[in-house]
Amino acid sequence: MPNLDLNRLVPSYIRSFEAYIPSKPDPELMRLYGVDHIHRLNNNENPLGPSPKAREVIAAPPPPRAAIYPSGDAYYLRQSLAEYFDLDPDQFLVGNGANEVIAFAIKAFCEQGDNIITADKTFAVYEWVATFSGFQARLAPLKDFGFDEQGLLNLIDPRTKIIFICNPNNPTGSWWDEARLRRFLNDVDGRQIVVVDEAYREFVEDPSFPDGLRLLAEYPNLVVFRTFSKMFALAGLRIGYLAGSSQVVEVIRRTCVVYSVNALAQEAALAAMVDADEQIKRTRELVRREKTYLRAELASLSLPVQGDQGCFLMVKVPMSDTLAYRKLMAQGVMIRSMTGFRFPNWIRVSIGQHSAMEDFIQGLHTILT
Amino acid sequence: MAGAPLEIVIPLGSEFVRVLTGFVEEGSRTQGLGDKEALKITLAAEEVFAYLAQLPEAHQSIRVRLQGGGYYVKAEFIFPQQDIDLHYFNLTAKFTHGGESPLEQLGLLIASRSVERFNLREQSDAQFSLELIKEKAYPSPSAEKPLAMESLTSFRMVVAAPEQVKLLALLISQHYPPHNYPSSFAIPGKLADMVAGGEYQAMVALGEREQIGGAMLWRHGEQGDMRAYGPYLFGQPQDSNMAAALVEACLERVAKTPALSLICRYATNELPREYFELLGDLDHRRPDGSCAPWHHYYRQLQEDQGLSVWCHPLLAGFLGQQYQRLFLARDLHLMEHEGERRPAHSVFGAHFDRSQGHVTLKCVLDGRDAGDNLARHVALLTEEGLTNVFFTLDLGLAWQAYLVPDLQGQGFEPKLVLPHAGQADLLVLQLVGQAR
Repeated sequence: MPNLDLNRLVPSYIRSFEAYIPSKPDPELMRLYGVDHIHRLNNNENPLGPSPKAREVIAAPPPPRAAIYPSGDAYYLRQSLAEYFDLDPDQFLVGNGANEVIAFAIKAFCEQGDNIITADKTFAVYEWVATFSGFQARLAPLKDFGFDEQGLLNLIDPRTKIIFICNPNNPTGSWWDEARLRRFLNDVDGRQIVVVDEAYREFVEDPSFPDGLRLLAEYPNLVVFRTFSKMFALAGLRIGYLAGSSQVVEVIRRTCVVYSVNALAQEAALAAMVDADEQIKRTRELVRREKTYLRAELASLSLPVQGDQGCFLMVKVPMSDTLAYRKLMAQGVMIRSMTGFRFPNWIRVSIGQHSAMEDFIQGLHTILT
Repeated sequence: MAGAPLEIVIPLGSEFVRVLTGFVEEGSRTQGLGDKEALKITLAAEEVFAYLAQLPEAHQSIRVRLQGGGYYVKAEFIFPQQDIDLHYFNLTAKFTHGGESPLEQLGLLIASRSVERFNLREQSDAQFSLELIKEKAYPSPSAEKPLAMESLTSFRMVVAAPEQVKLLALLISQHYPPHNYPSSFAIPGKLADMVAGGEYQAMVALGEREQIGGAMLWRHGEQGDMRAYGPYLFGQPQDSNMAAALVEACLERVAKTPALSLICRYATNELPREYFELLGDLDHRRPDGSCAPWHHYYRQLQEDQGLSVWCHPLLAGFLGQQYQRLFLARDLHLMEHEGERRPAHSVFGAHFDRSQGHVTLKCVLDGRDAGDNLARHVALLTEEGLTNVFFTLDLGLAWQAYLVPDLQGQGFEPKLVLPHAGQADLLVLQLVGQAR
């Protein structure tokens, strides 16, 4: 058998990179932790599930369609998005979840020696993709749990290609209003691509929250990410998209993998847009109600809470967050430990149905006493 | 400063011993050792080589690599497993030569006495290596008056600069008892080299005028673990939040590394307990005969995905209790020897840390003679005066469960589990009694 010299074959930035290990399937976890159910409150999924229109599509996909390739560039979905947001179809690029469009953008603009900038405590995928692609990820510390525009600007150098802003930020729920985002875009002044990840924007009710898509006409270096995974509850189908100026999107399209978005996901997303307003309304009501409940209960436990917008809250616990994870798992409650987000001893809990929220609170009582 | 690694391939024959000694002596000097230390590692290497040259497989060649690590030089004897019968690498090995009566050649033990660390380990590519690590000599810090300390009302966290690392060594040794830090931390030049070489990371809390208020250090472990030291506080009030800030700074820096766990074996009283879990205690027996509990703290860095571990029935109760107490999801698979074929000879590796008076044994290869081999090791190490004898079992390797009856028979007791510190978890046993 020939020798396989992986040290020579594998780039150094891959050798030092650790693969992300997703959680095991529920039956495995239930067996390991000796529980008969698991409330998954770790991935910010929508507990209401897909909208009625999307459910109709998902419930009855014609089997022969499985033999046919999907639209390679999500043709009808881009048409629909363009109509909904009053933009051009060529301003949209659909991917296999928003994670894929992150990779498209980085591949399109970065070459050896370039860097990207984001915050140190935010959605990890910007940093991951840059790092395992061999580019430097420069990280600006959060300020008061929010993105610090001056900190981001200070890290810019001639090799900076993209700045990633998560608005509202996952996991802290902090956000920039439109005036603040405009100031930042003005300061960048077109020198870098500015990506604003709006994965959780549909949960925000404050009217001063910016609509990145409306700013595209004024800022040609702006790229907006959105997803059908969160508010529209299609996480299992993996579909998200980016929008930008036609000029910028045309460049990013050169790096994208066609046919990566399956037909069912495209059709479900199209359907989800039909009754989007009702889905948003019902979900917001649930999130508002359960967040109010959680905040009161967590206050009675004297636990610090962080999280303004989004379908999640961060809670500081008086123990290792990874121990809290294990102890809550032993009660059938799965949360996200935050050490990996560089928030030691914080956990993030997704907003779920009331019974799940009650079980979470009961679980906290148990592990704290 | 350490140079690039040096390597030779040399036939195992007594006529080549001067080639070997010349290579090691001159090479270790170029890697940073002084004359005295270069001579010591050369003597150790000569013992090993002379020992190997007498083996029945002496027609083979062996690869010898010298690598500087800033504060030490490592000489490695590297060989594929099939080239040399590994049981000769037991510290206690005896063999017959030319049909004569058994020779008691303890060359490996003699070699181990000349170096700070001595280790037999299996490399990832089915190669084995015998490591001799000789550290540079550093001047001891001169007896100075205690350094001034200042309570800081505000501080910032920074990666320690070289001059701060040296100052840190003095502060730690002046303000903490020796069991709170590895002995190397008390030697300024050595600690500076350890940090500069990248083996340790150091974070300090600085006041407005760059005064050091506290510090935390950490390094990578041998497998999926990190090791933390401290936190060390200098003149800070009881209600200071500096200890927690240091731990958080450390955690934020290791959070996205491949490490699964952070183990703290040198915790200070200031360690904020809410960030860690107590794994248990080992007994630390000091030269004066006194004994103190040696606390082991731990923190998982990633969400636990559960593990399968192999466990002898004699340990099922202990492990079950530990995992339940620690809320670690583990599938315990019972495993014991049931008459199936085993290799003739076992091989034990011994990791000496003579500065701490510790030796840790582990089984590198299983064999039918494991019980007798273990007994010989225990007798030899006891004769050496080592009172802190540990044994680590890798619970990810099924065959290691076979050793449990022999370990218990020799007086080893299970003490604690180090999660994710091996192929799976490591079980640490300590020699506490007489052989039964």
